[in-house]
Amino acid sequence: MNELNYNKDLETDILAAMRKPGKAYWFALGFTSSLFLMGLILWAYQIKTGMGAAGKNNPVGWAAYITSFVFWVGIAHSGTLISAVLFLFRAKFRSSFNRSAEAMTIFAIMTAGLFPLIHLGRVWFFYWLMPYPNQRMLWVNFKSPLIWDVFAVTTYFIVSLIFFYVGMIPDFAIVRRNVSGMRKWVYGAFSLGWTGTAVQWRHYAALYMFLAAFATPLVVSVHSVVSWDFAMSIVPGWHTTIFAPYFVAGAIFSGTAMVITLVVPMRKIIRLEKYITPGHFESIAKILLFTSLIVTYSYVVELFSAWYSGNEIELEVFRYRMTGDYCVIYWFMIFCNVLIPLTLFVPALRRNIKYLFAISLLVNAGMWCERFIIIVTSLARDHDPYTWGIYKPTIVDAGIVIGSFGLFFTLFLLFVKLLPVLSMTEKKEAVE
Amino acid sequence: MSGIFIYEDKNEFLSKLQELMNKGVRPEDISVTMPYHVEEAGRILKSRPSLLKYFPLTGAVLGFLAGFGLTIFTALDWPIMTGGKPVVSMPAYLIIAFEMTILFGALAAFLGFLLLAGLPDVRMIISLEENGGKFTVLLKNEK
Amino acid sequence: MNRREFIKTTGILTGAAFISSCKGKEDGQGILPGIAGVSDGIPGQPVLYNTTCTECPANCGVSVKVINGCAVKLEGIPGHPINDGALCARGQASLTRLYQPGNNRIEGPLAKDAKGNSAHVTWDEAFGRINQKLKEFSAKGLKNVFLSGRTTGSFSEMIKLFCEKTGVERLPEFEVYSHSTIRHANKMLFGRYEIPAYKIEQSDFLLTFGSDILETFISPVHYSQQLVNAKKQDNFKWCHAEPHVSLTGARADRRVVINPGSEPYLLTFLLKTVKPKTAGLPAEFLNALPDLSVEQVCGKTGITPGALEYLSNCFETAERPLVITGGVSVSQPSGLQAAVLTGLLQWHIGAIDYTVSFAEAENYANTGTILNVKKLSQRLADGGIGVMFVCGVEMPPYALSADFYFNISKAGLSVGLTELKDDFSSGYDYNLSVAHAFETWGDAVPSNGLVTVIQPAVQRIHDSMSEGDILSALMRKSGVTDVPVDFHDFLLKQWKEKYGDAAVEEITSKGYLKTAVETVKTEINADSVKKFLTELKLSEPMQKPSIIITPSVRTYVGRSSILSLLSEIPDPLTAVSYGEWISISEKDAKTNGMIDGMEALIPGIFEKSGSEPVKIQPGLADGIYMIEKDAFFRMRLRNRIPAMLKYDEITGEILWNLNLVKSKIIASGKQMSLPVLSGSFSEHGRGIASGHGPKPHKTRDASMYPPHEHKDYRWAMAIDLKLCSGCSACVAACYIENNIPVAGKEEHLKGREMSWLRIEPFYDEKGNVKFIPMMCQQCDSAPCEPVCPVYATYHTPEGLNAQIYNRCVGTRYCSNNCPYKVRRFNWFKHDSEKPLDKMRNPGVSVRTSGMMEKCTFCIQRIRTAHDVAKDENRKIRDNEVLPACAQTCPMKAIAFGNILDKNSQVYKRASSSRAYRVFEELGTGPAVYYLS
Repeated sequence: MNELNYNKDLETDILAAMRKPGKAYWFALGFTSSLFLMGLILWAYQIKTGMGAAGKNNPVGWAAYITSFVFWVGIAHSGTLISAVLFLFRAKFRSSFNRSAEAMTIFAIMTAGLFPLIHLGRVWFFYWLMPYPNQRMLWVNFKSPLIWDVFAVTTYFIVSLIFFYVGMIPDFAIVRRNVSGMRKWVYGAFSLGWTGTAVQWRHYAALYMFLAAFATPLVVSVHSVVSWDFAMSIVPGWHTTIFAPYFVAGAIFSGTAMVITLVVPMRKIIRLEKYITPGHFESIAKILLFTSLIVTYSYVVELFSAWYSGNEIELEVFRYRMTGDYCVIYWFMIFCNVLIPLTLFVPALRRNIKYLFAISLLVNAGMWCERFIIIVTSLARDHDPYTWGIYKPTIVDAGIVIGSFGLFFTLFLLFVKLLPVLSMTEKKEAVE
Repeated sequence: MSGIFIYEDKNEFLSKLQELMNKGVRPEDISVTMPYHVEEAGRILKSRPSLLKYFPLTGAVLGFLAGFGLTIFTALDWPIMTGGKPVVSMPAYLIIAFEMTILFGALAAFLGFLLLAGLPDVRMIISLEENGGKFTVLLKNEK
Repeated sequence: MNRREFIKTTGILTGAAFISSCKGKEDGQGILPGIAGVSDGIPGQPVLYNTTCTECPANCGVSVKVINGCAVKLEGIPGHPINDGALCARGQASLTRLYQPGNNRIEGPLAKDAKGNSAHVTWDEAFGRINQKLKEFSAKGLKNVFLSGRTTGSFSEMIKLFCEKTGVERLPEFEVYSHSTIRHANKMLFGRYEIPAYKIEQSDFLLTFGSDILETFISPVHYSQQLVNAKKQDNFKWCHAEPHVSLTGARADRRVVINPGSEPYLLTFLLKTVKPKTAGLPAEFLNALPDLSVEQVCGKTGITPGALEYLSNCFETAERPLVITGGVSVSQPSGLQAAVLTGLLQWHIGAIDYTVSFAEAENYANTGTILNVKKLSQRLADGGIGVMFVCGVEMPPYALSADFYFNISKAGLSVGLTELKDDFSSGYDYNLSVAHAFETWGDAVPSNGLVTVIQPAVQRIHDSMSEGDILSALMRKSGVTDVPVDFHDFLLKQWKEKYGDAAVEEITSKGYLKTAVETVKTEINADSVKKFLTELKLSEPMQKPSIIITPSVRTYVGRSSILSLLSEIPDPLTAVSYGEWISISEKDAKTNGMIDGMEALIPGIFEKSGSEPVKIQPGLADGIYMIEKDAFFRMRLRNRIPAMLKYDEITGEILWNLNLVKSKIIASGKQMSLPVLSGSFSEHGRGIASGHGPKPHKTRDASMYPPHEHKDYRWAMAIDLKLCSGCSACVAACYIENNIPVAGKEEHLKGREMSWLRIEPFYDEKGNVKFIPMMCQQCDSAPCEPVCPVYATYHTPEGLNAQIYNRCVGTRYCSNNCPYKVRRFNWFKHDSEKPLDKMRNPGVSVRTSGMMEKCTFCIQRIRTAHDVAKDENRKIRDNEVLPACAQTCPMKAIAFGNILDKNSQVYKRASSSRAYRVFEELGTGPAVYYLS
């Protein structure tokens, strides 16, 4: 019977992906981990010499690091969207992406979480940002959006990790059955002794539903809080009420693009074409198109409200974005985030996987630029014209940002070999 | 009637279950394992809805209170004025309360699941009886 | 037991254990200066020594604040007749001269060996050899000479004594600003080769020609103070005529741009048209002057008929007008004419002996001119000089006296009395290390009727002696016995002799002594006036384009440029900090396609690439290029071009300009690194310095949160921008008071200056500039505070926006959220070079890498005032506590105090109709009020 064969093939194929890796894999892992190592060395150098090793200055106190923080938190979002929101909406194509997307969420938060530390002037005191009882009788300032960030991102990481892990428990049980020796014990321990009884499945289903229900408002809150880092300030170009939805849409937009970036090569390399079909890609391309339209709308509203406010200081920032020192980046961002995704209105292009991959790369770049433009240009053209200045990244800024990509892809490569990349139980359930 | 029944096909498995129930076997005596979640099995076995919902509810309420509790307590512990705002500024603290609601709710749900599902089950870490990706029905109390 | 109690208890216990185990140290010399008496020796308590600032010839009174044997801050002596508590930027920074790192100061006497290498010798060796040479050369018939910079008072007497006893010829002293044109003109008209005292505060209309009275002209702090007093009259007006752009012009009520060298035309016109309130000049003199029509004057000078009418009206309405000509207006080819005509005008309007006082004339009695140096150079070349002493002469090489520089080696033996190494010192055979003024005894007589003390405040850092001690030691070693044992002894004798025994106590404690002056009745020398008038042919104005070499508020003539703090503080007009530049007008920049920092080439002057960048200077006339004197010297030095500056053969005035005639500035197209600290010279309509910023559509009182009250104190500041001259003294004071690090050029280029307080220049379309001192505004609802995650910054009960350095983790969020951008982040750990670290104010903690710092309204001073007030069981009085910036302001533009006190100065100013707050519409509630 077809279904049975599918289920068997699925297990075989997924488990085949977890076998000993080939040369190409080692090469890729070596490459990404050396990028990460380079980032670490540069970070150590920055800690030793001082924050001045990076290109920041007065007035641009935040630049590439916070840009990357927002970027990576944004990437994380679509993982939760695909696994939680689409779960609640019962979207079937979700099961092709959810495991990779969730893994991406975890790794992106881990990468993102490093940046607030990297950008701290005195990183060795990072724990002062945590509320813990201490002999100095000092607590943290809960009015600071940065503390909101600490809580939002930490909560997001923990909840996403639980969600990721819970989703994998039945799959760990399958892996345990198919491996031997030491690995059997390891995967067995991770499976918590799951046997798949009706009772277990009943509570499991309830848990999964609750976690999805928690994750959905959480995902909205996290990027809203990140956006409030900016919106709560009085910096022109930051202080605007549309930031929360604008950032959430942007996050899902960039995250969806990153899912495509990751899944397209993964599908090819570990031969999952059978399970992840062009139809699935078409669905995800629609999400990309939809969020791109929201992002475009936000760009327009942002401009409109600056103009409608009649506030010269606000207007100057937008004039500067379009015509100033960073205008090339601004127009590149418009090209990537607004114009290129419009081509996805053509159905054939939505099913063209190579094209989607190319678009996803451009969107990733465009979204990084978007955050850069928001952060840097606003600070560079603040209230007092005497203080206007520009930011030029140094090798340290650039190297650490590149190193963060190294970390992310290293983690993802490890994930591909160590964990089941598709949710086998869900796939089976979905195929009925 | 006794023994173990193993099926590869979901429908065969479900009809066997139905058959057993029709014969008047008590659901407590039937032990079932499934390779993936099949809702109908629960319906046939007339299981009660999961009690899990009480855990996240309790967790969420506690988290909400803890969020406000932590923020207000720490603010009053050493009152420091910043930005002309009062020492206790509820709008800001609402965000912390919200995040902690979610965090505690999710943690409680997970812990509740482990409790209800009897996990982790040390004996089963390496299951001696592997049924593979198949449906099994085990009748316990033979009558 | 909580933490605080624990610390208290352990503190008491360890303290008790420590004190009981202490043993009296017999030799405390290593810690406290020798002169500190028993009562002065309380560790950590500041001791003030009143002495005299020697950074420029003005000789302001300063009190040196010494803590634990280290001088940490200079402040003007309150009530001092010159500066009344104030000090300029150079004065503030001059403390770093004392603590210059070792390689800048000469650490002991040096002698050159046969190979030309300098080596340390003992004082005895040096004195012995010099005395031997003195005798040797005298025997050979060569002349031994003594050349010094401007000296006054007892040291001048000492030189006289030394020269008498040893048969050395004393040469006229050399000071770059000899003001010889003014002195020459006064000699010609009134028979006095002197610079009179200008009594600006007694005038009701002041017209200044080129004299940069707020920057370097004679006694800038004194003139600033006088201007403040003069401005208290409602009808006081001040018009400044200049060919270039200066701080003085920017501060004047009206700035009139004239063609360079056209001053005589305007002065002649005024002489002819102004109707004096007193007798005035005899008609025959006036008739001898050439007749000029309004068109002619306007054509020659380039001013508008409107401006001319304005001047005439001012003279008409003024009761006590005053005209001062100096600076660039006298150091040009028609300078002497301008100075003489000014003297005539002063006489004509009745200013002589009233607002122009010869009775209290400035003391330039021993000062010669560059002509004397030229003569000396010739004598050196002829081989007629034996031993040449050079003491405190500051002569920017190449530009002024290249020949003299190269002829030094032709002296039989050259002996420099040198404090800091300069371009000359390496050429001397002997360098005798001179102690800093704050390490020695001395006095100064800056003008008639005033003597100020120089007394040691700290122990000598190096193996050095005062100039007076060196001379007295030389005399005694050569066998002369009937001279005082040392300079201190000589000084006391002089004081007792001149001012009486009782004066000694007063002069050392107060720091100065006012002496009686004889009244002077100035007579005009009719013969020489007649001679001048008959020969008078108004000289043509200089042709454009020309380079005007301007004085600098930061470096004087360049002598202060060694103090790196003064390079760290940007030039207030251009906001350029480090390096040299050429200022050009907006139109010249446009026609040549130049932008800020682009390399300029001037055929015949800067031809080599790698020369100098330009800076566009709004308000500058077309065809005028400005270079600061100090920058000019360094440019010459670098390009190794021989002296190009001319000097007036009659007066000996250096002509501070270069006429380019045919060549003009061209762009090489290369962009150079020029640290311009200002992001924009325009306010962009935001009303920062002009006070009419964008108002919100409707003022909303509604806030999410209730307002908060302050109980006893709410510290606030009110800055009168009509007074602020942009002189940057406050900035220098702030740097020193608060241990702010000097970041350096590379960091400035990256936008990482560390100043807590800065002067922001904003230009309008017409090129008029407004300065605004910008420091932390100590907002009521400070945007920086709530964003800090760790409470490193918060609102104190007294309204200050406090910053807790050691709590800061360095997120920089506060700085981002500050609309004034007055917070400074430590990008690196800034260590000060030894012994500059001795200057650290122990009242202010030093900051390390990765933390934010900012202006605190000098909270350490407020703290001290609180302690004093608490001891006396009262509240802090108004003006009892002043931040360093307010304390030093020469224009008294900054008022500080408790705004809850309705009688305080700050409250009165803040409630003025001119008061506004910067970006008030943001709702930050700043505590700094500006008066537009």
